[in-house]
Amino acid sequence: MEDATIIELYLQRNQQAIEETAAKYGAYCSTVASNLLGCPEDMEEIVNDTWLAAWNDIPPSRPNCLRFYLGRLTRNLAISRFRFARTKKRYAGMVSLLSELEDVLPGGTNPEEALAGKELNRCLQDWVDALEREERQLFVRRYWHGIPVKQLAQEAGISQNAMTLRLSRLRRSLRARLEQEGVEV
Amino acid sequence: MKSEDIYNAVTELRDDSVRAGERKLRRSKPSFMRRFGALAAVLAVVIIAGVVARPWLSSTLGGQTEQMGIASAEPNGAQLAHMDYEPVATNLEPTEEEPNGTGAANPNVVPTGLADWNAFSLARAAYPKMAPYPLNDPWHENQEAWDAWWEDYCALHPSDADYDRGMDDYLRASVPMLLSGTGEDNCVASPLNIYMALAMLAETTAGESREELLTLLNVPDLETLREQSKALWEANYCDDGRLTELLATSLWLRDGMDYNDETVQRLAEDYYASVYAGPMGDEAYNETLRDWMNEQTGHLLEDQIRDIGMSGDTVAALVSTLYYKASWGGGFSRVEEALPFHGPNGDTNPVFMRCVTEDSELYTGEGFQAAGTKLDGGGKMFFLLPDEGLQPEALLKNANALEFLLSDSGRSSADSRQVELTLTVPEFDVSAKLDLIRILQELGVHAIFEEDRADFSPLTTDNENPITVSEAQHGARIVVDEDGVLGAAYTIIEMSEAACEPEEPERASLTLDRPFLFVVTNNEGLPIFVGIIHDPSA
Repeated sequence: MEDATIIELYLQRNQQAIEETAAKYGAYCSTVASNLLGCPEDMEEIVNDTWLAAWNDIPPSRPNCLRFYLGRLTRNLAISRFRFARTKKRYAGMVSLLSELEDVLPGGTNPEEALAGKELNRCLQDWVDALEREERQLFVRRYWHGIPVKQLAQEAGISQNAMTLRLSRLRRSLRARLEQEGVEV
Repeated sequence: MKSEDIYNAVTELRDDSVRAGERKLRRSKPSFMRRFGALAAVLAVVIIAGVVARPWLSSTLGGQTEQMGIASAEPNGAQLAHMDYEPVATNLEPTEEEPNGTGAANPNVVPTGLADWNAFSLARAAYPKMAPYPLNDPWHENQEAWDAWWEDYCALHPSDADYDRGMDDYLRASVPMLLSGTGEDNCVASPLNIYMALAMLAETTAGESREELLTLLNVPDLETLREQSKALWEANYCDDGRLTELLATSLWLRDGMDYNDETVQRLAEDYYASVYAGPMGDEAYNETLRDWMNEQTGHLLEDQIRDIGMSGDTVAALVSTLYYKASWGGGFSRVEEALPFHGPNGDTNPVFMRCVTEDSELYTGEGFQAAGTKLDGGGKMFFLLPDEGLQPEALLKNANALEFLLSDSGRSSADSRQVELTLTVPEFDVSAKLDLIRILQELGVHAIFEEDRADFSPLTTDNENPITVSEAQHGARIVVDEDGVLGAAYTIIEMSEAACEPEEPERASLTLDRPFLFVVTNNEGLPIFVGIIHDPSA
């Protein structure tokens, strides 16, 4: 079924919307959840929560791209799950992802010049836009889709160490940009 | 801030960015190290922290200004953060030395600064100097060079610059007018270049003359216009050897006439205008004007500029120029076989070039298909091919096509699919000259042309007869070939005392083998050049 038709079903409050979404994007959202949390047991629950979140959000929302809209919901649910988890070690995927993103946090800057959330989004988007195609692809694969470093190394045909170094350079570059923009510690 | 904040910001990346991550990474080829070196170089550049404003000095309008009735003043240092003014010494002889240093380190840059440094100069805008982009140092062996480039780039292009407020309406109104009425001739214009000239013109006017211009430029007041113009100027100025986009403006005054100091100072400071004074109608003065225009447009428009000159009636002239040069981000190569271009007057055989990209967006809209290709420095060039049987001009009346042509939001909301795209485009070199008086009148600007309504009191009150706009002309040229895009544009507006009568993965391919539209945009999607190609061989 076309995305526009599925969205129309949501707008009409027709529960078939959820069935169609699950049929079309179940595998996709499961992969995103699995990549992020690294915990297959919770995957199904997160994905079901994604359908519920979409049901509650459309309307008023009317996503342009249903696939990435659902991916975002999954990401948001995954970080919430991680935040409230008692045993964070269980979520190895998120632990390593957030640990890598620690590198991006800027050093000492003047809080008065700190960026607000929206500005942070814009700053990040600008930085991503300025990347060369392959680096943009790599950054988004790792930090949006949550694909493990090992898999990325296999895709690129380089060693895991080389991939780690490549990602580390990307993070340092982003950190420099955030510092330059005056992002708060 | 926590890493979760970064995670959340990543979640909010735009759809097109997220889509980029859907494809598997390409396996490295033997040449990987070389390519990676170049990429790493680009990234490492970004690692430089902090922005230190260049010590571009403020200085004074001095020397002859007092003789001309223009008081010297200490400009506001903050306003002149990115430029300096050099007072003209008496009896100064032009020298071989490049005075403002622009392009000194970069042989590809259009030379500037010689022609505008002579006996008629009152004040000369010195444009921002940019360290060259270290094109030949992908391995960052010279980190200092990368640091210098990044520092200069950040100083001129703050990521939070908000310079396109209200531009949409101006573009929607003006571009269809600029590109229509040329019949089956090719057409090219630079809406950005015209905007700068009109903004300066608004500064010299009052009353309904000013109101009509502000309405066209879609700004509520002069203060907003000043901020916007200055931000536009800076956001679009780049001279690092990778992208050359040079904007320049100038003001040409009549010798011995009293002008309003504040307005002249304002044009110099907020619009980066060089200021000249000389005897109107004098051939040496006109030669200086033409030299200045040729210098600033890289001599690409000499054919048009040789006819330009101020007459004895001219009270003042405002000029804005634009020079643009960028290489393709990907690579085009010439198509060996002869392909026909189905023009309005039959088939021709221009040289075609072709580029294949693995993951390119192919846009489909009502009545057209379109694709874009990257230019070095962040800009893009988009080609809109009307459906067969439809003329490019018809797309200018099509809201979706127009939005696509003029704005990033129009392009991002268009239907698109990601394909392996074979883009085949004819090479072309087109130029056009437009009478802006007719176009401005059709856009609702009338008072500045009418003796009893025109109000140029902010510029001067030292006139015996009413002042009106007697000339307004725009010229542009664009050269598109396998090397990239080279373009130039000028706008000249003359105010005269004598009244005058105004004149009137899936795979797809897109082969532009019939008339089409194009737009060259900057890194945020703002159109720099727009045009229609009916016959690329013309």
